[in-house]
Amino acid sequence: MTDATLQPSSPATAKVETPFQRFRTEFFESRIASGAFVVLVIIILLAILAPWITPQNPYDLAQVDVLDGRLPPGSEAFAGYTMWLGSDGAGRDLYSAILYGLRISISVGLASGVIALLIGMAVGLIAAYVGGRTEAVIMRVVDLQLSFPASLVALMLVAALGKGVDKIILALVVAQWAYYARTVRATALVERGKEYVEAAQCLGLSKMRVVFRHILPNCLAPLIVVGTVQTASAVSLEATLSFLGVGLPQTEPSLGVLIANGFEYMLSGRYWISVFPGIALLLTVASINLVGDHLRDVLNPRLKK
Amino acid sequence: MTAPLVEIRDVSKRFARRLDVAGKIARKLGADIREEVVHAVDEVNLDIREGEVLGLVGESGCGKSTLGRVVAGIHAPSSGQLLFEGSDVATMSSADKRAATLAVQMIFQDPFASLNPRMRVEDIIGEAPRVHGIVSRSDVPDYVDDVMRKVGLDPSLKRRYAHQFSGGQRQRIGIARALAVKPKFLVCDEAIAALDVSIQAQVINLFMDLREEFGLTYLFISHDLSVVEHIADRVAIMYLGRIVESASTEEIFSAPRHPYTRALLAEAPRLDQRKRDFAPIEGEIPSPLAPPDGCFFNPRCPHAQELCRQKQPKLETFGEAHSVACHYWKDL
Amino acid sequence: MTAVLEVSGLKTHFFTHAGVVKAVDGVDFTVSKGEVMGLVGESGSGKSITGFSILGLIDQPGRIVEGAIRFNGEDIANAPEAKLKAIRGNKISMIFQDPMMTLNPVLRIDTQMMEAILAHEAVPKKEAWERSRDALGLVGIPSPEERLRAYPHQLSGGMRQRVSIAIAFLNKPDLIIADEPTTALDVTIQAQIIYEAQKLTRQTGTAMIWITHDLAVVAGLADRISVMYAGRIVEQGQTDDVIDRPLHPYTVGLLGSVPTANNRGERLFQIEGMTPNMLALPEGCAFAPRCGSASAACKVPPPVEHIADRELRCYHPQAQVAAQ
Repeated sequence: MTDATLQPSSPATAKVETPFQRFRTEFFESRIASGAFVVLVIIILLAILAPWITPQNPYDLAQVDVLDGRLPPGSEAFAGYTMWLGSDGAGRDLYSAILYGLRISISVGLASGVIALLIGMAVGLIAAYVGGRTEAVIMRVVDLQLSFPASLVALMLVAALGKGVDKIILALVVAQWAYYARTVRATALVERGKEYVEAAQCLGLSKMRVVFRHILPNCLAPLIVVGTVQTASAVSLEATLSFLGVGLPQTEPSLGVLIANGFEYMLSGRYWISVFPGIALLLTVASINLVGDHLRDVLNPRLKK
Repeated sequence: MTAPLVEIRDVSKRFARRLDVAGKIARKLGADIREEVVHAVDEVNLDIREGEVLGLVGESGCGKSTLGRVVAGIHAPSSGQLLFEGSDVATMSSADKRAATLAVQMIFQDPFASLNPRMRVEDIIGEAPRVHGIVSRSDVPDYVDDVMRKVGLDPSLKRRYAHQFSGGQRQRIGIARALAVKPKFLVCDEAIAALDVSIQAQVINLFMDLREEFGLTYLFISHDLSVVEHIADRVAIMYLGRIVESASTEEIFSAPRHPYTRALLAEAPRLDQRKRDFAPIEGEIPSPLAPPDGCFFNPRCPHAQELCRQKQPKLETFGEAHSVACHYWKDL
Repeated sequence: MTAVLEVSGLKTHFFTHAGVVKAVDGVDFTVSKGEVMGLVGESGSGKSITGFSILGLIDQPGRIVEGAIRFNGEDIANAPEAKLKAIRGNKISMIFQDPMMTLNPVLRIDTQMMEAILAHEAVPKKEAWERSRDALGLVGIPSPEERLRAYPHQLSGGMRQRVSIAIAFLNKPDLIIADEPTTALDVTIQAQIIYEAQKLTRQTGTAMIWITHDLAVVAGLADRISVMYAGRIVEQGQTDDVIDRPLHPYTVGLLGSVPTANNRGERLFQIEGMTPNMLALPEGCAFAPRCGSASAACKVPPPVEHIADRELRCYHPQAQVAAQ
């Protein structure tokens, strides 16, 4: 071949655009998604920075004064700072308690999400690539698992295991791995049938390399989408369990515990104890879900023009 | 005559759709579900000699792509043997087998699906040479540049992803990926069918240039007779998993014997035929799940006799390696 | 011959966030009664968008920005939807590459065919059914009564395309626009479909626009050929003239790049470069960067030139190439 056949690069495609850059441009085209993303980032930052930006450590019993209990928003605490969101029955500053609660809720959601994702991914990939009886057994277990509501599975497990952060994470992982496994298997099956996988076979590449270097990266997009949605549902599931009193202990209040604590005061007009943690939970779950929804639109090639 | 590079001996490939538990129960309850077996390739014999281009022509569902994938080592044959340079691929030592795998590469139809969308061009082309140690790790970048230049791609574009290229350029990337492992044999499965007309000519020319430069052997699979006529030395025609006729390109196009070959030749649109009255052959391609008895072409064949409905014709060879599977080829 | 369709100065542009795509940019042609016009072009040339524009099927962000589409003398460019609805499927019908664009997978063939009739005509159901049956018979479908009761998925690809052709001819349209109707089909099935379409146009006098990328298909079918490149018709004329004596360098290149028995084993003529990016078209003649005859003059878009009964957009007609 001579140089005459070298294809000229047209100006429109001259700059190297990685798939990530393209994805970023498309993602921030939606105002709602951008807004939700900003809210989510703020929430996460608040949660991370909680020890430095709150007046009180609600876990430190020495800092909590029962005499501060049930004060309305804007009251002054015994220690001298203003409780902008009021206080709960135990005298915890709600603003501080909410940020610390967010920390727990988000880390529980993320930890269980990541662990469930890794387990589900491995199981799903094995099912798709090995096939046959292994696949049939794995997928029937997945079906069985998915036929129970996740909250029921988690509730039974926590009831059996007892309270504690580690136990609730375990319960959430057991309740959710099947979603990831099903997603990964479905995508991997589609990808396995594509010609680039056959080409990799022709090139004599090992099975491990084909599965992890070729098939897996192409399954990530739907996995990210399921991951965000499942993390949101893990956060709300944890809140549900804590609200029901089987999740986290009173000494480590997550958002669910805070809402439950305030519930008994609702009718007596002390709305703030439940409502403010409730709003925080709503904002967190809604922003993760909105981001996840839009991720699905952007990452799903079938919806692309 | 040079020795065959690839020999296909009585190769069959069957695909079975097994019933799962639900299917078995449904059948017990009287549902009309069966275990379905498709004979995609049915006892095919073919030799491909070193340095030649064998065109494999047929319509959809005739098994030509499956046969190509058997030759390329993607599917193992259900029965029969595949010989590479005289030895059976199935019983080779693993080192020989790897060499044979690399020596036979495939060019795919779909320039989109055949390139991994998550990899940069340099990795698509350079991965296999690096993994197999065909060139040393430090030489890989230069090697990739070199291969890209050979297929007419600008090496400065190697950091890009496949989606940033046009269809024709993607097909060149696929060709570069195959060339990078120094193959002797290319299986081209409808490699130009998805390209624009003006780009098809570029890729056909590229195949011909590469053949000259590297002494490559090709199995060129296509439904397009004019392309095969242009590029192939020998042509085999497939119908429902069987070879019905094979001969030199010259002979197939000037003196076709099988009624199916004749129909294909007569009905392919050609530039030099104007406002003609098409009088096409009747009927449809039967489902490979339920092929007719006897000669598979008999329901559509204008010359079919009683014998054609009962007995499957054997491939008979006459003249200079012209084979035809028809009971009445002498009379036509 | 009377003109069924006269398209003049048609411009259909798409206003995308990345810029304006001039998919169709100044297209003129006429189709007469009973005539088959082949509209040939590569992907992105605007051939399908031209067809969709005629039927008023351009969706956002695209629209017809200029030009007239006179159907039986009446301009239907940007006509109100109600009016287009009355014409579509009735006076002008369309055949797509994928017959499932026309066929609804959950309805039986008879339901769909009778619906197509009853939408435009008040006739008794029995008559609609009989006409549907006859239409299937006309396109060479064996035992049409049985096929009428089938669902689309029970038919083969070739059968489905026959059904969609039968539907296209149901209301005796004046014009049929066929968009790559045989591209997905096998050679022998393609020949059958072309045969049926050709037979029907002759019987009914329906005009037809056959959109395709395959010159060989229209060479055997069309009366006239229009060649599109980057949104413009670069050459049109009688089939024999365009195929045997092409004038535009692009047509010459396309014909040269088709393998035939005459150039067996030789290098094919190849058009260099790639199909243009419709967002960044070169100034002037869009083909100039790939053209061997391009000159400074090509920086200005070439006007339509009439040579006998042919039309050409080029400063450098390839008469000498054709003469050899």
